[in-house]
Amino acid sequence: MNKLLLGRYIPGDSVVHRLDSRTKLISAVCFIVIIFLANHWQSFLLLWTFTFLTLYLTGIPLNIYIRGVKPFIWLILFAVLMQILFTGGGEIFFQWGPVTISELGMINGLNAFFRFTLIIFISTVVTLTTKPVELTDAIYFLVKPLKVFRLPVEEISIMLTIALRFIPNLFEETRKIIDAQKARGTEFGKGSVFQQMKTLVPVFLPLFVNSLNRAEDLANAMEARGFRPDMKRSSFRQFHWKWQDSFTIGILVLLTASIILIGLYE
Amino acid sequence: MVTDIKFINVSVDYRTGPLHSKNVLDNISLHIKPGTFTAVVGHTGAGKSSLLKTMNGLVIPKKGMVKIGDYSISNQPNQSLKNIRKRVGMVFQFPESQIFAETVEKDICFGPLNFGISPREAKEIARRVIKNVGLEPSCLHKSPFSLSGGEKRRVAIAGILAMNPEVLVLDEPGAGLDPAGKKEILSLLEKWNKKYRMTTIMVTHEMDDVARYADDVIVMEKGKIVFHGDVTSFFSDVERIKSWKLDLPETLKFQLELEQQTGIRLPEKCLTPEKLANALIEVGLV
Amino acid sequence: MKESPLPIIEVKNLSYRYDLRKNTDILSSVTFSVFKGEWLAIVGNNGSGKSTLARLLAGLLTPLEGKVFIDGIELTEKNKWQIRKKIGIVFQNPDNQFIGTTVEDDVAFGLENFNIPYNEMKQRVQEALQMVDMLKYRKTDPANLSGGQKQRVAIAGVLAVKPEVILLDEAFIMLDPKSRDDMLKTLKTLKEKYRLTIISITHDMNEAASSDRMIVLKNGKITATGTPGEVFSQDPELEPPLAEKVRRILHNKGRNVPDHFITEKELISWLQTLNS
Ligand SMILES: Nc1ncnc2c1ncn2[C@@H]1O[C@H](COP(=O)(O)OP(=O)(O)OP(=O)(O)O)[C@@H](O)[C@H]1O
Ligand SMILES: Nc1ncnc2c1ncn2[C@@H]1O[C@H](COP(=O)(O)OP(=O)(O)OP(=O)(O)O)[C@@H](O)[C@H]1O
Ligand SMILES: [Mg+2]
Ligand SMILES: [Mg+2]
Repeated sequence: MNKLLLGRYIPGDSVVHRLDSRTKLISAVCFIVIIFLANHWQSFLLLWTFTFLTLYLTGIPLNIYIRGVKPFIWLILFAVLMQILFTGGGEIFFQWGPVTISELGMINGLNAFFRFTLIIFISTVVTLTTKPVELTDAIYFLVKPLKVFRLPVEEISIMLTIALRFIPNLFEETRKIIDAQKARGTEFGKGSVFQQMKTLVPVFLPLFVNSLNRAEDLANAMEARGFRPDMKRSSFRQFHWKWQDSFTIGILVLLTASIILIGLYE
Repeated sequence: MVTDIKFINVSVDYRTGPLHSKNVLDNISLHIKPGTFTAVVGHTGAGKSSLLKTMNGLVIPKKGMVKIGDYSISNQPNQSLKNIRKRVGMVFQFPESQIFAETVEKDICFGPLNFGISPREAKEIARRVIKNVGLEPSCLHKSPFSLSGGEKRRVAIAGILAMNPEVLVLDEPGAGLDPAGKKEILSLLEKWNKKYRMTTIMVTHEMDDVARYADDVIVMEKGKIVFHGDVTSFFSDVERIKSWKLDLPETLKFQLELEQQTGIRLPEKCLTPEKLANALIEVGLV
Repeated sequence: MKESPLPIIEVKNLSYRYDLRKNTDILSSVTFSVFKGEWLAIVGNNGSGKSTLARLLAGLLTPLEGKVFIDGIELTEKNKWQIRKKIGIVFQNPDNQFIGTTVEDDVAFGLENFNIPYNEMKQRVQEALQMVDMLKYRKTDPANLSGGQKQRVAIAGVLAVKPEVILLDEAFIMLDPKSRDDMLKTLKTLKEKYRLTIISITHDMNEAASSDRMIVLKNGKITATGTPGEVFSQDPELEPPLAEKVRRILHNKGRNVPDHFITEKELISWLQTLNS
């Protein structure tokens, strides 16, 4: 259960933690876009350097991030394999029926690998260093202008807030069920993969039922404390734009420009 | 089978991802004698629940070793805790976090089934323990979510009694029970403790329960054990109890108040209303 | 007791069932009033319907029959939102009521809902956390707190909103006695200062005995109501507070004791007269 990192927040006080949530969100989106623009080794070198620098600045150990990639490893390998096997061009290394392994295929495979891992790293950075609520605040802030297109921005933001509030609850609930079952004799993480899976079945069933009940409890608690979806609320979390934010945005502009230039240059 | 518990230089912290909290148990050494009824008391956040979770292997010591009878828990990967958990039954502080199955019956049967008891026998056990905790057998087919707070607490206790453990570890078992239910359940625990010499450890905030049920007392403060001894010596020094920011049993508190305000002196420290009444008669007041 | 003529809460003939297929009421024809500035204790066995009553007062459940008036306004689906500003509830299990991901976020949640401006909110969160002595933990995830710490945060969440009525559903059971006393004292002070009304659901008879008025629920019905003295003398099954226990024991031993409910103070002064 400790493996899945997406949607978790690790409290901290690093530069990255202290950045405005809007900065982090915009930067991440921008970064993901330029990842898809990049197709030269120089661009990837730049992107990797930027990513590792960011990872370093979060103060969270590298192995945590690597653990974050692990659950996606099969997905990544599958994508890489598809690229290698089914795209072609350039020098052909190997051919067997419809399957060709060519130079271009290899390069595409490598690119796919880079893109996936970079995206996972950078989104993990954002979620690990930003409280989920702050993230929704940022999303709300960014989509607010869309109101002119009659998008129900407020409702969407509330729904997102509730959904995000629920993720930690789900973790909590899982932890409780596992603890409760451990206390009554179930051993987790023992034996073969198959045996491990088997011990998890009795966890998921109650988890499903309990989270529905928990959701109801949570809704009740929110309501009892005066929460009303269609009302204007104030916010305890305020945005604080600092020079570090301007600096980060500046770096990203530079990065984007470089990637585009490298692309044009070739 | 009578089981004792040993802590040898145990330290514990909580981890979320890569972050460690500060030690919530700080280099604790402890020996709980087999068959005793021990009360654990202390201020909010002192580490009582953490101490109990360590006895059951829900929290693994960062340093040191815990021994439950012949079995031990320490900080090594891949140790099997099944033997420990079979012997140590634990009732959590919040009963809601202990109950997970769709029906009360399934929940109570979970432990026994896990330890290889046949389904028929497990249901048999469930019927017995549900009565032990003062609930109707018709409760067995209800969903735990449709129970009141105190009823959930009783089901949680029943689920542990059903495992027939050698050591019982209870985190505030009386909280949320009505006075009659509390007396009934704690007396049951006391009876089992005496009859089967089941080692019992109970966290409580109620000094009256300490006085009434416990043989030994452990006082915790900031992750350390500051006192471990028998009840009589625990209650002998009122000032010391106050210095731990603990309360006195209602009766004793009243007695001190009375003695201070009226100058009446009673022959002994009274821990129960019965004793107080007798003492009042003895000094010829009433 | 200062009773103003208009009750702040009026419950009339309230009945409720969770399962409409069964014809046993969880609450049946419950009628009572709570007056402004009063401390009302509700006691009763496990499963007698206390928490259900609390949920009905918060408008989280809709009564099968009967009505609830808060400050003279009938509680309905439509105006329950306005009414929630007046009544703050601390539920039995704190785990189910945390919404924020940090202690301070959680305490602020109610204030956000009532659209309190940021600066005031910040101050009120601080004050509330100070009152329950949890300021140190304001950045902590509520899930990582000890039992007693969780209950304090839950209480702070309600204190911050400054409602007129606070309903506590066994909100102190995980607190150590010292913190419990402190919390009761804090609430009593607030009650005196702001004419706060407190409804406390409890199994602690000593706490109940120190209330202004008590209600006893049994199987969904009110079986006794009145001052603690009246209630404890009316209902012999109810576990009495200490002084009364001692009086009864002495009485049973055939000693010559007062023949009515007695508080600790009264017991002491009675013993004093015997002594002199
Ligand atoms: N899951 C957790 N993660 C991090 N810290 C925790 C966690 N659980 C408890 N703590 C901290 O550990 C300390 C000891 O907690 P513990 O629950 O053992 O206290 P306790 O003595 O049982 O208190 P209480 O009487 O309030 O239940 C507290 O300061 C608490 O904040
Ligand atoms: N969600 C629910 N669905 C169905 N039945 C319920 C539900 N909640 C409570 N009940 C039942 O209603 C009755 C009253 O429950 P309630 O929680 O009001 O009791 P309580 O007086 O608060 O008890 P306690 O002192 O144990 O907290 C109980 O018999 C319980 O089983
Ligand atoms: Mg605890
Ligand atoms: Mg209740």
